[in-house]
Amino acid sequence: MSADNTFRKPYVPKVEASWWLKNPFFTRYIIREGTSLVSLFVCLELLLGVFCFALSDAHGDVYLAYVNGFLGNIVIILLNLVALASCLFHAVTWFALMPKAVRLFMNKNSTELLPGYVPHIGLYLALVGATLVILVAAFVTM
Amino acid sequence: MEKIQTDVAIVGAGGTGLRAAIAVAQTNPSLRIALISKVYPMRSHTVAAEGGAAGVIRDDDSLQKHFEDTVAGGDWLCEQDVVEYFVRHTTEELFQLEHWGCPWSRKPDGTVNVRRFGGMKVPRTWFAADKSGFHMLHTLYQTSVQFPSIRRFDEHFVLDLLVTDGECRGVVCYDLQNGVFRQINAKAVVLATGGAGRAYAFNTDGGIVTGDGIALAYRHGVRIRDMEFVQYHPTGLLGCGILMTEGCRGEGGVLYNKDHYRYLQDYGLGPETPVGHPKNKYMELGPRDRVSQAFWNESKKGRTIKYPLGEAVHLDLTHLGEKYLHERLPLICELAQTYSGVDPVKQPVPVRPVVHYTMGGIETDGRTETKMPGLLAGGECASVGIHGANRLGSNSLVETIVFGKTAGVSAAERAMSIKKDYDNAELTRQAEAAEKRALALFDVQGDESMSKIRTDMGESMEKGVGIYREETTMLETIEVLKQCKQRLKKVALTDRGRVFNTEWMNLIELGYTLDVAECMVHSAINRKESRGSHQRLDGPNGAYKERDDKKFLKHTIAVYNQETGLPDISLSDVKITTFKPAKRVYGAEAEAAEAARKAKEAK
Amino acid sequence: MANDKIMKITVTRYRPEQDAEPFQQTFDVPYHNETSVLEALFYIKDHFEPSLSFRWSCRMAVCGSCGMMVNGVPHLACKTFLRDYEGKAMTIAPLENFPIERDLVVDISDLIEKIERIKPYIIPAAKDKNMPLTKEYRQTPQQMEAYRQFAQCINCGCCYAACPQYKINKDYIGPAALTLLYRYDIDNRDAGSAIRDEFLSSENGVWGCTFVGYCSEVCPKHVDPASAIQLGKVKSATNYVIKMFKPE
Repeated sequence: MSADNTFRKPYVPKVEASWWLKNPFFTRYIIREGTSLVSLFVCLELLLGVFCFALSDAHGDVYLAYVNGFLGNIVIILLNLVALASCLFHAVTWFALMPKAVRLFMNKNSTELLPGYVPHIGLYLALVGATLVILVAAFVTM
Repeated sequence: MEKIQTDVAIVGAGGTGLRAAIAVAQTNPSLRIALISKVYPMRSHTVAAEGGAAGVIRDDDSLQKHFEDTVAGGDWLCEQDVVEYFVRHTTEELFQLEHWGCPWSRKPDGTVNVRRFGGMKVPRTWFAADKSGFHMLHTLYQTSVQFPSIRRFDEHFVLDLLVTDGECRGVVCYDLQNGVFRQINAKAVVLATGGAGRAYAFNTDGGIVTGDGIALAYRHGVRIRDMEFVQYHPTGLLGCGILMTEGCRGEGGVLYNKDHYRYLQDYGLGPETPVGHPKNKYMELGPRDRVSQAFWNESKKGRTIKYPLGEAVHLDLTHLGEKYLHERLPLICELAQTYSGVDPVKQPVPVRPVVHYTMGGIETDGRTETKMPGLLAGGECASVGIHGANRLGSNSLVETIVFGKTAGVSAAERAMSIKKDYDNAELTRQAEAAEKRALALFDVQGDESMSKIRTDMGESMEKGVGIYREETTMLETIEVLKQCKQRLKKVALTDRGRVFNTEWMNLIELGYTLDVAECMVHSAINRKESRGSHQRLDGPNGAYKERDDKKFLKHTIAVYNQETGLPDISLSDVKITTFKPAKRVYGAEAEAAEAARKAKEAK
Repeated sequence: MANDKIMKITVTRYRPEQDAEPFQQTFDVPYHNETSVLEALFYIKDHFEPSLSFRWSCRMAVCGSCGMMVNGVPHLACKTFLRDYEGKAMTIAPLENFPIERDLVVDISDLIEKIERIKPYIIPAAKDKNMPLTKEYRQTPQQMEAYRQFAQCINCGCCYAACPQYKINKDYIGPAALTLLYRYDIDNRDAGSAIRDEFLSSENGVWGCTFVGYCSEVCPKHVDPASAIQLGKVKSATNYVIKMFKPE
């Protein structure tokens, strides 16, 4: 169609940088995505710990300094608490969505679907289970 | 103006238009198809059909039974040879849709299930829950996208047919999005624009159901048939008129008046069947005209239920239980809750009759061809002759696909028989004249309000050509319509834009609807008898209250008169092949008649 | 309408031939318990502003014409009621993430193109190509239930207006079209899954979704596109693994 054969002039609104603040649903979503930054911090922290541990033998008490000096720092403690909170937030919001990815029938002939709360509860059980296993393993090896 | 050459132009992209387009594409992939619609295909009003589509499939059913139900249901005003063709082709078309992905409801073994419907002797209504039209339309639309020869013109509003040498050779339309006009030349034009329910104030129809195609053909002198037969559906939601499908009653729903009495037994549909055990052609499964008329009589007797929004009766589904209702009638549950605040699982739904379907339309033969060469019509805008004086529920959805396909094949054959494209100065002149006429509406001065004219028309139609009719009120309606047409010429447009100018388009649509409304009331006043959905209360000693086969076993034909601007009314013969006219009976009376007939045959 | 309550309704206007950009217009609209947003728009068109353009048809939430933003949330105008906004003001705007054609009418051609692109029709297996029109495919109620919900989409576009991924990347195939794709993929009559994988598994297919979930929240027909897309991811991953072990 030739350009002059139309009276159209569609208006395309600009996407504002603050679009995610206009709807609480989007704000929650961006916070959920934002928790990845905190996770990044925790990963680096752990990585640093591993390095320090590896260096410990040759260079004295690097690991001890890491534990006492770094992890003991009040700012780092606060950051770790934030990390824990954000990790839980991510888990809760993600678990709430997860039943959407599960679609199973009650039995071979039924048209009834497995209710959403089954995978939902299952995820929480898995979370609690995994946490317990890690904690027990940590205490046993101490 | 841009000019497009095609082989087949189809106006309307609902069930019929889409099916026709696919049929053309399958008949000959090299044919160029223009599928023109004033909305996107899935917006077409086929989408709102709920109950289902009739097709013989059960062992205890037969084509003969479907034929007899249809012809008797239509009060013998059907073209019987066309009905024979129709019932022969329903089931294969329904299987075709199944193969294309339509989710027809199933039995546990995976075969297609059918439900009961009003006026049908045997359950033969295929259904996709209570969204049959929705699923049919989306299946057809989605199937159609695989055919590259179908070129769609979505949101294109047709302004006129192009006619030279007495043959239809194209259309001219307004492209809403771009605000420009297009001339589409074609070797065959199929009208599939739906009905004209919007002529009435209280209807089940979408805003787009304005009778465009009927008016386009009518203005070119094409014969319009049986327009007095307008179907009132007995169960529209009080207030808004949203349809509560006949499937509600097919599944076992019952109707009560204010005394909690199943009043249909008083109107030749009894005896009462037990609640939860519906019986075909009894009580709530009587035909639509009878059930609607019963409401009118209950109202006269003061036995309806008064609500702030008007009178109603109760459609009770509560005995069916939540699980069954949510499986079989999910949309009904949602609609009643949303638009009436009533949960059908727990409470009865207030309903009343509401205008639903235009039985008449553009006269066609069994191949969907009109008397104007090159012009075909199918679906609700056409009168192919299967509905007669009263359509049976679930015959029209299947009509869209049976005659959609027929129209497609007929149009394709015509297009293939014509070697050269039509294109000449006269076609262009006509297209430009139509453009000029449309643009001239911007220059009109006046102070009439379009919405007031629409309201006046709708209310007058309800009054004059409603469930029961009398000459005096019909004459009043004729007068009101005449004034409406005059007033329409004095509507000044405030919207000067060309892009999506809905005010401008609505004005042209209202002109179409007024023409169709005139056809309806002039056809009705001339039919001095009662038949099917056309019931009169007048005549010398009430003579018009009865069916009069001697004078009126005839179709009504309306033809536009250029001078008066009104329809000239005449009568034409009805094709009767094997099924001779008899008294139309339901309930116990029908069984007695059937037994008598069998006894006679046995002798 | 003497006893009616009044609501202040602000509507976005844009007339392409006159206006450089959209502006707002406010009207006092009387309403009662059953008044829908669509009927409020009728009232405005009939009494104040005949040039206001909006799409509508069926009035019963099945044709999909009247999707628009009501107080910033995508809704069908015919299925949204003024009573639920009592005591508040109301703003009505065109669906987000689509170009505004005029007033409340948006250009949905991109949505339509995507719906049609993903091959939304039964692609039969070779053995079923010439199935006679005298029988149906066997499909048990459970086999139908598997896709039934995903076949309820009315193409209203609300999910695209709700999708942040579509907002920032217009090449993303998007919720409605991906749901339709998945609907045909899991229909037991269909054998076209391998053909559609090109769209399903593409960068702009299911993997373009970050599981915001708002599409399912706003869907007026409870189609749950987010679910279809997550299930589509499982399917896409399975396809990938199968391809790895079974090169063509």
